[in-house]
Amino acid sequence: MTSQTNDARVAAPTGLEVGESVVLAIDDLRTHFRTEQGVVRAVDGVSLTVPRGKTVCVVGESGCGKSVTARSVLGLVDPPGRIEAGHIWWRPDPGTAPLDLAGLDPRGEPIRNIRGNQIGMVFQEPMASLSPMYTIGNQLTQAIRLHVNLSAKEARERAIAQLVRVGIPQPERRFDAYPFQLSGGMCQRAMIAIALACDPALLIADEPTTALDVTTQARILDLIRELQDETGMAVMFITHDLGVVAEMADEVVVMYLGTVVERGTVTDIFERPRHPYTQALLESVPAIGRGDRARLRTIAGMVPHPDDRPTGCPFHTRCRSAMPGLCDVTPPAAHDLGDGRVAACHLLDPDLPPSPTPAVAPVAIEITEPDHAVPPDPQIGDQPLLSVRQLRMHFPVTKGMFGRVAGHVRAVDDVDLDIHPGETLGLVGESGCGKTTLGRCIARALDPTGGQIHYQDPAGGRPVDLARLTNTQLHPYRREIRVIFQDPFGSLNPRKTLLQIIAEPLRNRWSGRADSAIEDQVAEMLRRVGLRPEYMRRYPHAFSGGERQRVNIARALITNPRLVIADEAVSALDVSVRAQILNLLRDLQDEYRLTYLFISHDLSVVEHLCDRVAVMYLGKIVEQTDTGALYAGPRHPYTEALLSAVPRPDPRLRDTGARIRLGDDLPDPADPPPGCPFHTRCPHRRLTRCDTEAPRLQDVTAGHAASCHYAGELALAGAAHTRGEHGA
Amino acid sequence: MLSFLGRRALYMIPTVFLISVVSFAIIQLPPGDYLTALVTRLEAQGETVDQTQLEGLRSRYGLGEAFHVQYWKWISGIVADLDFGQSFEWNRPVADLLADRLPLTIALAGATVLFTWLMAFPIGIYSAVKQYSVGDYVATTLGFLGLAMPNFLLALLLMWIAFSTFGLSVGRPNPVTFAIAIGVLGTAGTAGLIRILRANLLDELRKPYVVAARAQGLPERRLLVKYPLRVAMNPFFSTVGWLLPSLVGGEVIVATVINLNTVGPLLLSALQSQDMYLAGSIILILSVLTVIGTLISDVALAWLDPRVRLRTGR
Repeated sequence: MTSQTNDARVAAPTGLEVGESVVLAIDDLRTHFRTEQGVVRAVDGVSLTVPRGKTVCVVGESGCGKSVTARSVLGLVDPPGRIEAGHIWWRPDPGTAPLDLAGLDPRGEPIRNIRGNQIGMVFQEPMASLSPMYTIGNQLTQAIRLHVNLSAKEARERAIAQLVRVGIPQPERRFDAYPFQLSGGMCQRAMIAIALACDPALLIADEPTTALDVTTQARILDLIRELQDETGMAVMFITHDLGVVAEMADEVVVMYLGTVVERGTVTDIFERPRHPYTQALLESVPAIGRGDRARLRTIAGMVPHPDDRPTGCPFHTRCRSAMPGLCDVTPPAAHDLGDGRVAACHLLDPDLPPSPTPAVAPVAIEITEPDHAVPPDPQIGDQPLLSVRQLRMHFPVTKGMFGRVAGHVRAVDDVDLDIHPGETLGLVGESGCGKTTLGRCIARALDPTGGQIHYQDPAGGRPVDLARLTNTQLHPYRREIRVIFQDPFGSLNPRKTLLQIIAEPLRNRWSGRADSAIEDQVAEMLRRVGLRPEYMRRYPHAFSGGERQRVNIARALITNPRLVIADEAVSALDVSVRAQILNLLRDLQDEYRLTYLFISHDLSVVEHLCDRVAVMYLGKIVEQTDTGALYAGPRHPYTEALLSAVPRPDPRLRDTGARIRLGDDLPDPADPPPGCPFHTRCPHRRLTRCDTEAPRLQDVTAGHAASCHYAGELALAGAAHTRGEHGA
Repeated sequence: MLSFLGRRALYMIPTVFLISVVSFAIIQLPPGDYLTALVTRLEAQGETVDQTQLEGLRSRYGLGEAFHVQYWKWISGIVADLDFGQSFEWNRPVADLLADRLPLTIALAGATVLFTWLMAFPIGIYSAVKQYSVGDYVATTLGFLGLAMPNFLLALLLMWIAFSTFGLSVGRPNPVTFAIAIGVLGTAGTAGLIRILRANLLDELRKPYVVAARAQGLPERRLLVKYPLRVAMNPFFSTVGWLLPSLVGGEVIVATVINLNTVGPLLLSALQSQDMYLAGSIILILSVLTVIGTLISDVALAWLDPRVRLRTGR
């Protein structure tokens, strides 16, 4: 698999020759944005090659110039961005001479003939990348007819064939659907159909699965690989998810601040990373199935903005092995390590006198604080902090002229859930399974249709049923149960300062309280979440995504709550920032004796943070148990499928054994299938019971509940196993 | 789509009913009625009015009756046989008065809308596509001027230019005054619409789907027309609905200055003399036209934008 490009010429970063085995060669590319504040060097000397028929993954945190590099290839950089220097050699056909795309006019005819025709591109947000004003079919036929001379009818036939090829069911019907009528996964398939409409020699995929669910992501990745096998195209895959890299890549390019810090084959990068940044990135990934709940190792700080790029090595400000006097002065050259490996680090410079730190394994990341992640609170009593019983949240579906209620979407349907004081309960499931709605019901942002939410203040007092309280009665509990939201950008009012944002819940409580007292409290809170108190007069736009999420956390914790509902709180963040936030959440839990309901679709994060996990499907809890038990031996086929879909940051696991892929997307929650709701997608269904009789959630072993008729019989694969032996 | 249309049409009925009640009530709010206003005017001229004669008139017009009786008299006449009542001041049926004036008003409004679109559309696109170019700055500056300058001032200025430079008579209604009126009335709307179109288009041009379409190899001009422009067109259609009332409001002064026989000045004088049936009927008809205009713009929006069409059914 790691058959090296056997192209020695590739190694030379500058003045490289474009061999016949290479389809795309980027040579010292510099794409700069000239703004009024100065020149932003988003891409600053990137060299990489894409071998014919192979997949090259470009990884790095956001702000590293990955996307700009990809867009530069097709001349799609928006003004004021411009390719200032360098070459992009494009050689779709070994028989012809390479063409320099960097030299083409981005608005001209020649580059347009390459876009969509020889190079297809897929983007991050499938919904937003398709125009809402036209049908899928319209946009697909347009892409075909731009480059192939076909009649409208022929183009339609070809478009439908294309939809079949990317696995869209009922292609004739979907041809006339608008993007907003389809799910995100379907839209991404349509995008891929458009990108591959003219059988390009290269597909550029810019974070194509970042906005998707883990199960959908797995299917899309499979699809890209299948299509690659079928057509022999090369793929340039941009992602920040190292699990995806391990699944997809033949070769890996690691980028940092507009430069390539390391590149090599996927096994080399994952098993023998040479650059401190690569090593640090790999270490900040919470790996699934290890059962380790230690603090995550993080990369200190964050990516600096490209307009205040550090002198010398761009990474030296965050590098543990930085050598003063060298790294902060001289930018490292790219060292050829043989076998097509290149890394730009002074530690690898053979001419340099041996440094005090051993160059073989730069001590990139050490854990400074010894693990003070305490084991689950020994105090966890039998008395749950919150106990949810038969909770239902149904949304009416109206039809016709007078808004007749035609049915109900059962977003939450008879959910029972206990949360004990001091624990972290994970709630996982695909999007649309009702996990967010459940969280909002508990926070009483929604009025549940039925059921009880018993809340027991651990400090004493009688339990209350939150589901029945009126808004005024809820008031004291609003500060006990707080929410951290997903989107760090959308959830903070841009017109308020941090002080106003964080102090808002306090002002609601005591309107007559002295302002300075509130300020002190906010300052203290900011310090606790790792922000400087001086920032309190600034507005949210001055902060990065990770910092804003800290503000969100501060706002949630300012009232000293008992229960914090974290709704996809780290999903929008980069790997290294995510690790920082997860560590922070954990520290704060110890410090304030918090109880978390952690809602996420990311199973590796859940495993890392949670004591117990509940899996949700179509508004129901299908499995619930301790984290270790769930990941080691799931009892519900849905859990097994979810675990199997998580990409693992280990390329060796790639081709081991069968993987479970759930067919089709979620059934319509307004019209759930009869019997077991999961039977339509279940690989283990048996026709005797599953489609007629609905299973109930019951204990399989002590403390491990699953709602599957065959929970006791099925041998399901967990995450700790390598994917392989799973029987039926 | 049909159910969408049907629902919107049904919504119109209570809306129009409420408008008619409110407008009738507002007309009656000032103390006194048409007769007291008439008496004041006559007494100011030194004449006396016979009280018995006055009482006779009052009972004939039904002015002393309760509000709901008067309202019922008025509205039932309109619904049953399009009888809008009698104008006290003009001593003619309101329907006749309106028949004289309404066509010109509607023609003026329609022509103004067209003028606004024809001006705003190309300028708006230009200043969005060539953002921060000289042309954009010029268009933006002119737009601000157009927004800021009071209508009557512009009307006077144009009339003066027409008279002094071209020697045209502007005292009587003729094509020139009509054109001036269109220009004056349309300026503010055009300027506003340019701003909206520019802002909308700039937003749309940054959307990922534009880059995605470009990545398919679509030529710039086709891309612009097919994708972002169609989305940015929304305000053009939504303006149809509320253009009419604002036009009639702005038109009062302009039509007075230019001496055009439109509904605006008629409404003003009817309100001054408390000529209640005339005023009430004008307001009612304008509201109905506005409601219909809103319906048309809703339908046009639904036709233009599948998101409106396919999501409202829920």
